Amino acid sequence: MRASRLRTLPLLPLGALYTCAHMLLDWLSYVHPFGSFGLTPWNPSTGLGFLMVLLLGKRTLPVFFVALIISNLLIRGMPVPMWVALAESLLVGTGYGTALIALLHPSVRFDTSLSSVRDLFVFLLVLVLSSVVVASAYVFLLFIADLLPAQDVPTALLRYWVGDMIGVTVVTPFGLLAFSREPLIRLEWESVFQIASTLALTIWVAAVFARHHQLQLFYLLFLPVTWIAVRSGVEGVSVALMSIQLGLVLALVVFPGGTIDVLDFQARMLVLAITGLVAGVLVSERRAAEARLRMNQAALAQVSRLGSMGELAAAIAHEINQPLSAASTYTGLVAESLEAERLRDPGTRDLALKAVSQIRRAADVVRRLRTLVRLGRSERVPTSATTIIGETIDLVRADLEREKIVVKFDLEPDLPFLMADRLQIEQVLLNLIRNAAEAIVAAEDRRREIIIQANRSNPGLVELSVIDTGTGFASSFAGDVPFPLSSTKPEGLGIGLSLCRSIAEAHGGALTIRNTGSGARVSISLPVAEA
Amino acid sequence: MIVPERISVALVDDDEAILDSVQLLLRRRGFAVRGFRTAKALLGAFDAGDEFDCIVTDVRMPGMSGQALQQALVRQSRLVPLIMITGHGDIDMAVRAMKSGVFDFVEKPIDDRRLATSITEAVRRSKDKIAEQQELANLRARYAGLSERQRQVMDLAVQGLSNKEIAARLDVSPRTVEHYRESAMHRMQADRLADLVYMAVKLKGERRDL
Repeated sequence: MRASRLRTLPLLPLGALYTCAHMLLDWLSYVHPFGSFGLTPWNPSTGLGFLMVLLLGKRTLPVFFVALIISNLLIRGMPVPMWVALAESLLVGTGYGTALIALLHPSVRFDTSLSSVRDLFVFLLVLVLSSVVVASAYVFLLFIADLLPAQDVPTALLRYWVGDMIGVTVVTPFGLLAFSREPLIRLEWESVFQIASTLALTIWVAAVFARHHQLQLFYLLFLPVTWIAVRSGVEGVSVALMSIQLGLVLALVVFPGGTIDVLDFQARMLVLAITGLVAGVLVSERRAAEARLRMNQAALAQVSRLGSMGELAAAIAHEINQPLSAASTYTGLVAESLEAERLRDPGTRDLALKAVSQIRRAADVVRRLRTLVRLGRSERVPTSATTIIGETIDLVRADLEREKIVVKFDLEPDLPFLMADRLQIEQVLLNLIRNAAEAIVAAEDRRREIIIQANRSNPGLVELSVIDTGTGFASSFAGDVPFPLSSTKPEGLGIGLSLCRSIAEAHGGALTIRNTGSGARVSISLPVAEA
Repeated sequence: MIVPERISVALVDDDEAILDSVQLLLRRRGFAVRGFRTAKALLGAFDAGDEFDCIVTDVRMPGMSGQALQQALVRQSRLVPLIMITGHGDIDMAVRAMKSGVFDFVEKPIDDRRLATSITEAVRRSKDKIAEQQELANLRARYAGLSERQRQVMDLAVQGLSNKEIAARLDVSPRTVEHYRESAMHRMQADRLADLVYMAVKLKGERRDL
């Protein structure tokens, strides 16, 4: 889901949607309330409010206010006088509203995709300050309204502060990342195992804790969070924290220990959340730097390849020019002999033969060149299509992630092996995927998706297709029309597609281009290896 | 075109086919040609006392390149004109080569007329240059053969001074000046004052160059 779709929603339906979600969260998290006025140990609804305003802007602040009031009145069932409830909503709304406006101020340069340590620190700093102010004001309000005895003030203050802090640190980063990354985490065995084991550990820790009060067990939860931070970065951490929090709340409901001190648990949870997020952002930041480095290296390699191509071209030119030059001199001499009518002169015949042998020498150079480029004859061995696709995707994954392009696979099961030169076909596929990515980037406002398809087309052939959601080809390009060497891309070298077609045809296959209506589809068919 | 009389050409190219074809071509044009596969081989021939009127060399050769050959010849003060043939017309290289004293630059495939003309021209110019140097050497020898007085009189006479003025400067009689002037002109083999002035200019140019 994209935040842009929510952004275009009018305020009224958005408000209704948000209020419902807010109330639902309030109701779900209304466990272990403290005192008659319902201080809960984690307030995810505050986190949701942060998320909405940060993603959709300041105009949603009134929605935040209204939801606070309605939720206060409905969920908590009016444990306090009306004026206190209203004043409370006003306090909370104003306190956090000010914090959010400050966070969104352009001079703060806060990036809601939380992609740097600085963004995370700014976020946490604003959160700590505003929640201290809001908690103090709130508890003071309860105190002057005579709802809170003086000796309970410190506990109430701490509870409220921890509850809001944990609510925001768990929900808001999760939401911000979910809206800025697609997908938030990749569904792989490792990530599923990570989250499942974290969840299981959480419930076990909570269950043991409820019976034996062994609070130190909580620290075991640092293990999976650290592991996930290192392996999956901040995105994985945000999912893990959400699972731990849900697991804890679930455990508290399932094992209602009479004397359980939820505050203890939540304070530790807060430390875990902040540590995990910082570690995760550090890892993500390093990975982004690595991706940039890889990109620069690739650009450098391209430049040096072009440089050596220039040298190669000069060497080839020399190799061909030498025999042609000699041949031209010999034939010039032959022509002179003919003019002088020295036909019987055996030297004339020798000259002509020498010219022929020099022309053969030039042709030899050209033939060797073709071998060099390996178009004439390549190493074709039975190769798995999925291996080719996998290795190619590994090469472009970083680039596609940078452009936020999602790759989907549609691979027919049990595909036969291809008779192909693996390196050449990988080059072709790489070229097609890069073309697709460029077309998607050029289209700007579309879905960013590439589908890699592999299926049996005609008998004896397997078709590999790259389907994109980009701008498509100019109509003269698509279909069976032979395409020109020129390119519709402004920075393209223009020979990419022709070379791809040459390689496909050298394999006994073909390359076809079609516009799909929502993008383009370029396919190469390749012969199946004989069983 | 004029067929030159027995101009001897040294041809250097590592490519056997080029060497053979250009050799045949130049022989047909009446040149005496000797081919060398490397620049080192040509330098060896020079060391053995062989003489050539002109060198035609490839630029790009393994071992010693055409440019290196040119530099080696300059170091050994062998004033044989050198023409380069190259497959890749590189303006920078051509300019550098011409500045370092290469006579001409011919591109492959070789235009035979252009090569033959270039060789003839190079040899003619080099012969002119040699003749000029010979003349200058003779002039210098004659000038050196003048007596102190004869030289003084000649230097002043070519500046346009009359006999009387020269006599006043040198503190001798005009008659004596007349005598020295005649003997100096005789020794320098000058028929008229204009000839003497021309010789003085040549000698002066030579002295400025030194």
